[in-house]
Amino acid sequence: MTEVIKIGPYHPLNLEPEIYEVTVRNGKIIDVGIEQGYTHRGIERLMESKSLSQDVLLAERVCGLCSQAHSTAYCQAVEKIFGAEIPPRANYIRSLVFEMDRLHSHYMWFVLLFHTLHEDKHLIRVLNARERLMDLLEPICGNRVHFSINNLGGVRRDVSGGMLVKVKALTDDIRKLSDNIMKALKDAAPKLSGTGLLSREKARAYGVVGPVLRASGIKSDVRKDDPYAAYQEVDFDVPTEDGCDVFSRAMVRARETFESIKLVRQLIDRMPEGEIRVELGEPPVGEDFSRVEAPRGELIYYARLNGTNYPERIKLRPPTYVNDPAVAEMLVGEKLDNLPPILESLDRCISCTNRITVVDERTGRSRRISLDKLRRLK
Amino acid sequence: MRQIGVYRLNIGSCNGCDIEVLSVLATRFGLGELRAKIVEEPEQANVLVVVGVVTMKMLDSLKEVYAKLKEPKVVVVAGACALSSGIFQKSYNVLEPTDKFVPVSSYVPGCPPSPQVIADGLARALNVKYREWPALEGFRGVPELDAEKCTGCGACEMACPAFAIELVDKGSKRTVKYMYDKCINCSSCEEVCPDDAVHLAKKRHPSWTDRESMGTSAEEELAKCPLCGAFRVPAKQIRAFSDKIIEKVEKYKKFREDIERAAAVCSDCREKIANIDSGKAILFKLMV
Repeated sequence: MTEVIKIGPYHPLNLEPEIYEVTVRNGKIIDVGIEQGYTHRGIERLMESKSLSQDVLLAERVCGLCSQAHSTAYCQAVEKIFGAEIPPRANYIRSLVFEMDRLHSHYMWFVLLFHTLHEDKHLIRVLNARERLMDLLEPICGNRVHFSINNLGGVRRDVSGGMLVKVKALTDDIRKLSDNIMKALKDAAPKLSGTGLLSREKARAYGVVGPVLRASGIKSDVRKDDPYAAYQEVDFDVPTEDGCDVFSRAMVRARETFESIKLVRQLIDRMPEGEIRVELGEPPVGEDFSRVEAPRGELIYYARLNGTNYPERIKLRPPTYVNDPAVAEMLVGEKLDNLPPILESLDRCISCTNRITVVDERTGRSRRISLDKLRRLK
Repeated sequence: MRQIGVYRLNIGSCNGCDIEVLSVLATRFGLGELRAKIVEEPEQANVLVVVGVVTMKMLDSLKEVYAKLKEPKVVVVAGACALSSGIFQKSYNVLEPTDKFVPVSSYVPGCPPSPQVIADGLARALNVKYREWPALEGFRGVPELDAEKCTGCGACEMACPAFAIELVDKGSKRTVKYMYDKCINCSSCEEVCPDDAVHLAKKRHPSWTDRESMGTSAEEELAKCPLCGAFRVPAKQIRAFSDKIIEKVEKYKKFREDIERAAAVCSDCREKIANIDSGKAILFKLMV
């Protein structure tokens, strides 16, 4: 029997609520269709109507979890056109907040993964431990999620020495959390291994980025390949896995948290003294682009200025946009039970998918079922 | 005791509010104290937490989910986007704020609101008492306006990316209005204020039950334009402006009255004086 399962549009934890139309025959997925545009807010157009410095705030509100990535990429693109040299301390602060952002984003992803796996004990443990990290982001940036610390020409706030000591002290506890996550993942390995395969060749063909690409055995990280901010001056590894499956993607993220902890420590130890911001002067005419490694992968910003205080064009290419089509490759041929962890492995936050419509192909009538019922439906 | 189901709906959010709503699950926020529980289906819930701007494509879903809630229906809107569209106001794909489409019980300000405040919003909607959480040092709260220092110059209005500040001129009075429902706590107003009159509160603002009262304001007296008699420039701003000039160049002290008079000329009149086209026309006539 062939069924078309429609997932969406509302799943509260999705970055962009969207619809996945999954065609299933005898419990196996044979086709996937994606419909986007549910959270289209017209940001690129909106950016043209706001001033250059206001756009920093708009850019970081593109995504709640990659907040620092978006504002850094935007600032770098515009600063390149201005030809501005950013003070070293500002670059270090940007990178420090960037890595703390990556840590809290990855931990949030583990919360969602454990939710999919119904491991509520681990879920609450990660969530509670993550709060301590958030308690440091709040005094450093002024808010837990949208940091608003970047500004054209540098950063808005300095980080006090006492705060840096506190962050460094926390890294030991956070390392324990990452160790626990590694253990929990090893326990969950039988459920996650061998599902959602995306081979090395296919990963390259789809052009996926970030942890999804690295889990298919390709070493690629903008922080290493095209260093920005303070990444040239610190040492870190780029973890890769060869499993090409959901488990590998989880392992890549877990190992990345250790690297981020290492980076946070180095950035604090080597942080130079000095200015945190330079004046940029009159807006020039020109265009440029910048890329950064967001928690989900390569993020690109393009900016064109026309000599006024308002940009003529801003274009952004977020990582999920290129990762999303690969979900079809991962899902086709899989059992329906494996659908939630596979969607989750993209870091699309689909696990809390609430509404599912089952369309009977013969009658064309649709009915809605819950995620739990989906698990029983084979 | 019976638990109250809370359902979360993203209708066009950046995900920031979503993760903060999820963070409420952390043990320390005591969701259990409120007898609340996050559920996965709208049919199991009495309380709907809405986050994000209302986008054209999600409007139907919002109405659909609201219709599915159990009675009595309670709606909590969290974050500047859901309250007033926040920084995304005036976008072509963003409709009116949530409370235009569904009745709302409590408003949780912030961009995004901290889990503490979201829990407070839930408690307020359910008529339960919830503890107060102090903010950590360096927290960016809502902007507080010092009416004594404010000159009504409007620098903050121009800097605000979320249209949360409004200058309303009526007769000889100017009201500087700060609307907390639109505020994204970015501290732009604090940075640009030339008179040090705006400071972000160092405390978490509790949730509200009524959107109209969310805000603060200051009233300024406007001076008469010496040429046309219109009320345009605040008297305090003229004084502050002249003070700054005289502070920099002391010998201008004797011209204080002239400076103040020039500063009081409204923008319309200034335009007329500087209107080169009409000057050209006069010259042209003379030449002919």
